[in-house]
Amino acid sequence: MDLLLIHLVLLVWLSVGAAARWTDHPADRFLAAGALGWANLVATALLVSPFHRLGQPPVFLAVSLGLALTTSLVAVFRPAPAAAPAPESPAAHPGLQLAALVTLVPLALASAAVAVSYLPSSPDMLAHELPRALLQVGEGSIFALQAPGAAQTAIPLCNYGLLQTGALVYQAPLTTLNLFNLFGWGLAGLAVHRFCRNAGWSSNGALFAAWCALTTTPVLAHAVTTDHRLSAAAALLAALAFALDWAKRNRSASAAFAGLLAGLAGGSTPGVLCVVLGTSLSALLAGRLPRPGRKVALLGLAFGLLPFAINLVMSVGTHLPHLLTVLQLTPRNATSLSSSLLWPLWKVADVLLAPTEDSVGLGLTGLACLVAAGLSLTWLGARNRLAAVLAALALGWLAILWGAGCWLPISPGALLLVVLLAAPTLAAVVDRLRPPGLTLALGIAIAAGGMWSAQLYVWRNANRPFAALFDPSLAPSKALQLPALLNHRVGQEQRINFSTDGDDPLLFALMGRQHQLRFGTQNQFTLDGYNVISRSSRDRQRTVRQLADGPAYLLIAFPDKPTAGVEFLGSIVVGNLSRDYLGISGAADRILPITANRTVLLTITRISQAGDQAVLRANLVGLNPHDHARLEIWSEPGDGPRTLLATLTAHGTQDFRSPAELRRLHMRIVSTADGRELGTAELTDQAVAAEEVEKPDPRRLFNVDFVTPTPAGLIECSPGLTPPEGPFPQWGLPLIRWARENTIRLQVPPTHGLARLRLSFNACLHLRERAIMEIAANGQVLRRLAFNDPRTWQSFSVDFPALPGNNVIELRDALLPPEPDWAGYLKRYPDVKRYVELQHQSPREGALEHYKYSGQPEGRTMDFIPPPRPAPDAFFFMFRRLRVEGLHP
Amino acid sequence: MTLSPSAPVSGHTHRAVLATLAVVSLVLAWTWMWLISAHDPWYRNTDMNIHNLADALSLNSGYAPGVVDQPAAPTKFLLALDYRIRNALGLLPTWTLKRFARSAEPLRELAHLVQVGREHSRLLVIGFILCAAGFVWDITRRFDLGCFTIVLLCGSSGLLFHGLLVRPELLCLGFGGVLALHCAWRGTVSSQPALRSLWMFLAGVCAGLALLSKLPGLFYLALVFAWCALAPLLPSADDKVSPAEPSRGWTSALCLVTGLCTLVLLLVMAPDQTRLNPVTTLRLRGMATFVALLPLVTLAGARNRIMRYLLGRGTDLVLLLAGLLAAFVGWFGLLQTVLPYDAAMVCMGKILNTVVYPDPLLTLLTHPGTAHRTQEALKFFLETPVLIVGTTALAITVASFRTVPLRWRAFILLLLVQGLGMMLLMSKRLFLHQYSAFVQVPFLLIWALSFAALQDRWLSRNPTAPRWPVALATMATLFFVLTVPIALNPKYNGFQDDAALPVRDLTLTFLYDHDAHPPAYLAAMKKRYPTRAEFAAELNRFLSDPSHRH
Repeated sequence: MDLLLIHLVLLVWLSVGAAARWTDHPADRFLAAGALGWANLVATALLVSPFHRLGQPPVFLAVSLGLALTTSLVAVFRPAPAAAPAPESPAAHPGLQLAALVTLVPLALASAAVAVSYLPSSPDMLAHELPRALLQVGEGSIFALQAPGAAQTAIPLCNYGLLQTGALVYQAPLTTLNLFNLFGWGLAGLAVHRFCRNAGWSSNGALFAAWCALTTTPVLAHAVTTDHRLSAAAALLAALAFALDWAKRNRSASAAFAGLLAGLAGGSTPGVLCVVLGTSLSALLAGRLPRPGRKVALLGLAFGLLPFAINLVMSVGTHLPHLLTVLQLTPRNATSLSSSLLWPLWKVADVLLAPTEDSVGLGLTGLACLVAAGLSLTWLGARNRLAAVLAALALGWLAILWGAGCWLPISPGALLLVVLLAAPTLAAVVDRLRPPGLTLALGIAIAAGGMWSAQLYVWRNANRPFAALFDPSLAPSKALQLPALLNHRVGQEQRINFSTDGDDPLLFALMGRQHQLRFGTQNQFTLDGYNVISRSSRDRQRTVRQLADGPAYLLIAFPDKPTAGVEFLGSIVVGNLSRDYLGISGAADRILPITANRTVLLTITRISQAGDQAVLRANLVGLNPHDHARLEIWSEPGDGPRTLLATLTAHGTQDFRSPAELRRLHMRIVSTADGRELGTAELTDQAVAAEEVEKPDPRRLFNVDFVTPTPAGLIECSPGLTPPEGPFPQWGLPLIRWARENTIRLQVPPTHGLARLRLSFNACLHLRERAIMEIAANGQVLRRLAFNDPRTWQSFSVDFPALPGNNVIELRDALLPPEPDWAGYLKRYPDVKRYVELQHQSPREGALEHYKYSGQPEGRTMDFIPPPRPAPDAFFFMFRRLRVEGLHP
Repeated sequence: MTLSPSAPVSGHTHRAVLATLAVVSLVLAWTWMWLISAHDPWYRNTDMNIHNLADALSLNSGYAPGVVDQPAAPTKFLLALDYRIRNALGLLPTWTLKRFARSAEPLRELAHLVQVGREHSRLLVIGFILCAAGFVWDITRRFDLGCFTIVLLCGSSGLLFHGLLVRPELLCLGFGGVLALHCAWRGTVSSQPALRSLWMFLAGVCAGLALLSKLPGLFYLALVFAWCALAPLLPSADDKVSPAEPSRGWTSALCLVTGLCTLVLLLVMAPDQTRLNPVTTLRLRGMATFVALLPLVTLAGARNRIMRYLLGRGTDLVLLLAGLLAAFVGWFGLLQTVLPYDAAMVCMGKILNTVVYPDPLLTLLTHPGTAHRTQEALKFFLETPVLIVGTTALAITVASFRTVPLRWRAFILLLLVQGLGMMLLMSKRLFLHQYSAFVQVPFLLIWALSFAALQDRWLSRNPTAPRWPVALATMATLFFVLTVPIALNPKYNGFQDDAALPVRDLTLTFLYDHDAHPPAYLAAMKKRYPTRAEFAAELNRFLSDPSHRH
């Protein structure tokens, strides 16, 4: 991290130094320095990528600083020729400047505090941008990544992501990634101001426009996110500001910066790319741009778009189809369409509730910007053509967004560009208003309104509340917890290779925890490092008939496996999304197995349909050469003999055709030496027996399930019930909780209107052969439930009247009655023992039967012994469902 | 800032008399401190004194100090340097922990080391008085006022009490309350932008050294910045050349270099994650980046007075912070000269954790119920009620005279804020006599400056009048100095419960097995006296001879 800061500090100073020789206004200097700094990081990535050295901090630092130094030297020896000075105009009203400073500085400080306190949380970025940055660092290159998931690498626009890559090269804390947009936020304000000033609008108007742009809630909200759109929009606006300067003063340096910034912005996000290309072409065709400087502007533009172009060329064959799948271009229904169209309006109200960066509305200043754009297009139209053009650009882009709303959801980030393009028109509108006193009052009113909505957002943000920095009780729930085994395994390794059968939106949750590691992107099993395989949890339950919907995976037990195999590491569940993670060491063939990894992973995917027959692909992981075994896949059609479809002898993939009437796939692991069967599994056409679907009781007041990934805390539960674990597909276990004390207490708090309580559960024994569970409510024993088979899950349900105050439900491990000492009986009477053996009965049953029918009448005696008690912290019962419902009378 | 040109130049005789009075005061102050120290048992007040002593020996041995709570870094370093110099001169054979462990009779060595430590403190007190006098002389540009300040400070019982101790408060006050303010004053009157930047940076360095001495040193940084913010608003009619704003080039260079050096320091400390607390690291990184990048804002320029003022104060702030960081980095460099690399790392880690992330320590020290704030503040008041009431009245009176330059009045009020502020700040903890200096010194400086202001007023009304007010005041103060033993007596003799034999348990702990001592010291004691009982018996036997007690 410190090396990163040293790098950034030096880069900023060198860039500012170089920019000072090529620009003549302080604000232009900062914008130009931003462009040079960003271009430096892009150029560094481009230079080191062919040698796969991106992940090496010394190389990255040396190349970047070398480039920055060279740029500075060039600037020293080739400064921009002196141009005609820009006409001096009165500065903005001092009161206005002070007011802007007093409002914006606290916002900046609060945003900085939030940025360094909260981890990145934007779901889209966590799913796509950040994993890609980590993968680039891991691979040492920004090109030709083999995607673990298409969305992570298929999108070829990576200029903004290279800033994040630059930070991750130095293994910086993840909060650092929030800071890039904070700089982008500041530069956005400067860009708006400079655009207005270069357009010849007044200082007061320019200040209003910048002030409002910075307090617009989508802009402010994205100041501390990892979203690429704010910085891209800011760069685009800065490019337009430089283009205006170029057009007015014929400065080649301005042309170069305009082109460079436009390229960098366009190479970051598709929306800006469209605007950049559209605007550039229009300006060229209209002949609005001076001839001197066109070449350098084009060079700058080309440089900015270079990574995009290279990535596009290299990935067009492989990733574009995936990309289209990712985008899911399907028409949306009428409700979502209407909500998209009305989004900016109705979301305004949301700012009063608990907004997040993904749900925040436009805010008052955002609306003011749009209104100003509308006025510029209509009222100002003929008087101020530049404002009208800009307004048309902003509103046109808004119209495109609304049009695209039929297919794509519109987020606040999508409106960033609209707001920032519309913001300068506010200056034009303010300039037209008379008298100046009114302008000032109106401006202050608008800015104060914006400040009001901005501070509301900062304080009431549901994801990252600023207030929580002072009062920890207001902090949102903790970040996603990784399964312990997954965390442990990944933490032990130096290099992780990810392999996934599709997009894994939770990938960053895993990568981010260990971001100092190097991650690879080989989609196949590799011998280098540790392989983490990601599968959708739904694939675990898929049937043969459902293969058209997606792949199915099985963990095939191989109890006598001589080498390490695939280990189930756990699942991550977020809302409806659930991913399973499995792991295998690259050196598995040379490692002895442990109990948990004596399995192989088989993934069956349907590739295509040829007539009646489907072409399936079997991907096998975990079968090593030293296992001396092969996997056979047999089909079991409805009628007819079994057919061998495929045989796999080691890790790898094999395609095969399935019969037309496929009912079942039978998998066998057989020994290559003697053909002995070592393990089996089946993929049937029957869905895994789901939990019985219960009709909700109309009297239900509340319902608390204890065996869920995140159990609700409404009912207090004694610590004897362990946290949820699993699922464990290798043992056929779903999500479970253990009773690790002989009494589990569930305390239901007083609830208004509560008349009865219903307890229901589905439980099983662990290790013990027999046990009795005593169910008591408020001290009264309701039922004694006997468990006589350790392999059988028992369901139980009981309801009982609730007391007015606290209600306490207890699940106790009751004492078993003394057991007949049948072993002692057989030892004492050898003749009985011989008789039982001759009858081929089990010793227990034979002894008990003999005592009942013959021994007792003959006067023989059988002793009774108390059953052994489990240890105090033993595993008493295992629950896969435990529910308490409160019922109305 | 100088007094009005109408003030007549002092004659040689006048100067000679005042200089003699100042020298006599210094000799008297030294004598009081020496006399009391000579009669005070060496094993009294052992708590932090013995820690600093053991840490100084540890520094000379190349070991990192023990637990660092109040860092007292300059105190330990200067003491270690003193031990080295005396050893080089052949005056002190035991100057390292290794020698201490090998010595024939460690208790005798310890007694000698304590006496040397007190002598060292007496030198520091005299140095402090001269620095403060220089400060007043620099403000007033008058020799007589400088001498008057010496006489005044020689009468401060709170200050002279430090001649008996080896504690960090003296240097904290010296660096923060005198030198940092002096630098800030010079900066705000400087007409050259480069000099202004350098003085501000030095003010930050002094505040940093005050913080490295004791945590309340941070208060002085706030005070210095308050003066920087206030001074440009207070034009003085006397100034021929208006004070300059900090230079862009020098500010940028100083801040960039300091910021980068701090980041490099963090970089070299990073491999061992346990050295620095994450909060410490975060704060230092934030400060370093802020300091390195903020000067860029000065490039933006400002086109109106308000923005120029804000930009200037922002620059002052960043220069002060740069100075603060430079003190940390410089201290690390200084440690490298006396400690091996690893030990310097450990030592610097402890110091930075204490001064940059003091929150846990402060929570512990100011735990509710430990001290009643009003009662503790009252103890400060009751110790010198006349000084506090008189000074407050004097400061308000002088501030109300319009003929006194506005900048002087503001500075006198700032000193009043310093004294009262430190009184309130330190009253969060139980009152200790060594804290009195934090209040007495700024109040006595107020007297010096107020006399200067009043005399100036007198001379402006009576240009031909002699300078009798200063002479009179000096004489009066000399009488005050002569009464020092009366004021000092309660401080030395108030709590004699640790002087009696057998020595109390707490003293034994501080001398023998306190967990704040460096491990090498504990090992040396343990090797020589395997059990605490044996050490107690040996100590009591040693002290049973009265000649061994002093």
